[in-house]
Amino acid sequence: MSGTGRLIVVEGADGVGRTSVVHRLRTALAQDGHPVSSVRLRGSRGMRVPLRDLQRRADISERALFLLYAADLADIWHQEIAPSLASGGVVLCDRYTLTPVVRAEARGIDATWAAGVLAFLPPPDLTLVLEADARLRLLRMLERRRFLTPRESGLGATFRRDPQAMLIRYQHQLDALFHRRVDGQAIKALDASADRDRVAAAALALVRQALQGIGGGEGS
Amino acid sequence: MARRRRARESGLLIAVEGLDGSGKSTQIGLLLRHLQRQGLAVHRSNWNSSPAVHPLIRELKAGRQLSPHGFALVHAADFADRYEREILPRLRLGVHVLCDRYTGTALARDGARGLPREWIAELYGFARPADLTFYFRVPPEVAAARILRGRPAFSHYEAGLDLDLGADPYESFVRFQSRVAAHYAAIAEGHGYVVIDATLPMRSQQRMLRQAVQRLLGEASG
Repeated sequence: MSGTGRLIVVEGADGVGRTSVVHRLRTALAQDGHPVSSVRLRGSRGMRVPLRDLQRRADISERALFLLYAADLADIWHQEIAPSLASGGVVLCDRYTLTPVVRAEARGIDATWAAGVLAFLPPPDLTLVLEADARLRLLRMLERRRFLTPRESGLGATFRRDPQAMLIRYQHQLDALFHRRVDGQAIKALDASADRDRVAAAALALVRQALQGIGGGEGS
Repeated sequence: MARRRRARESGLLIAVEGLDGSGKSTQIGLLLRHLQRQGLAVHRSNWNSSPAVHPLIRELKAGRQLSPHGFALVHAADFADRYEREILPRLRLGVHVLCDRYTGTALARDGARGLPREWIAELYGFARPADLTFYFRVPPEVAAARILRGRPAFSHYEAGLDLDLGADPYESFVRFQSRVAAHYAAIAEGHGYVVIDATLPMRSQQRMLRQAVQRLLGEASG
């Protein structure tokens, strides 16, 4: 925790419904009377568009991409999270340090090194790791867009042979790596297979629990 | 000897370090041509030159929004991309690689921006240490005069203008580069860099470089 505010992180693999949960948490916590804001990975002013473009390129090393995500997080921290926490706000973060570390590990980079690089960022007060079966997540992704993207399939030459199988396998790997980090205390798993309202309600209950003792109405 | 064993398996990694305006780029260019004339397979890699990352760094620097951590991480990204796709594949094939700035630059610059040296060292922990590093030592005032002979003004980050060291760019440059030089001096001692007095005539400096590199090549083939 940093300052007097609270940092709540929502993590989980692609298509698990993080953004929707964050949106609903934000609305509910504001209604509870908390000064609440939300940020997202790949959300810093200078990095959003370039990172999206670089992620689509094959000619950049995985480590370089990880470090650019780390730079993005550093700037989000300095520009948005730290000032909000210092003024006593609740900051909801759609992905934080777990995603880049898990992605790096899934792509063959030493996770201890990756976590060490991000160690300058303070740990959140609560991290919710949303979990749902990879097939369900794939279905959700394909509701939103027409094509699969190579990165979500783990990238690489095999993508063109059988993108769907690659995606499921890679996403299973991400699931396992996320789940390994759940400790039931500061990092809690949340089954995100149910409909969005129910998932958001369960997330809200956990967040309210974590916010007990600080300002706000219903949640305090 | 560990160095000899490694050298037989791979090319040599030689780096030059020093303040902007220390003359290291000119010296490494001369060394490159000298080694190429001997028929050696040599490649040069410049700091901040990854085709994928460099354009982004240029844009971010122009925006002047980078925090010290952000500054360190985007430069590490550029380095990582070059290390894994440009430098390491060549070393593995026995090509000698000359690096115009290597990890010492990050240790000195990011250290001068107040980041812990242990964290910077861990950030670059994936890269193998250079077999030979030259540190071109020059007073910041001399470096400033050389830079201003080539262009009209200092760049924002090179002058440390992100650190509020003074409103006057020249003053800020000298203060910031003095900090960088102090970090370099400590790193050079700790890592066994060969220190070159960069105020000496160019030819004398080049002679020292060639002698040290020739010795290393002899050890590698011996």
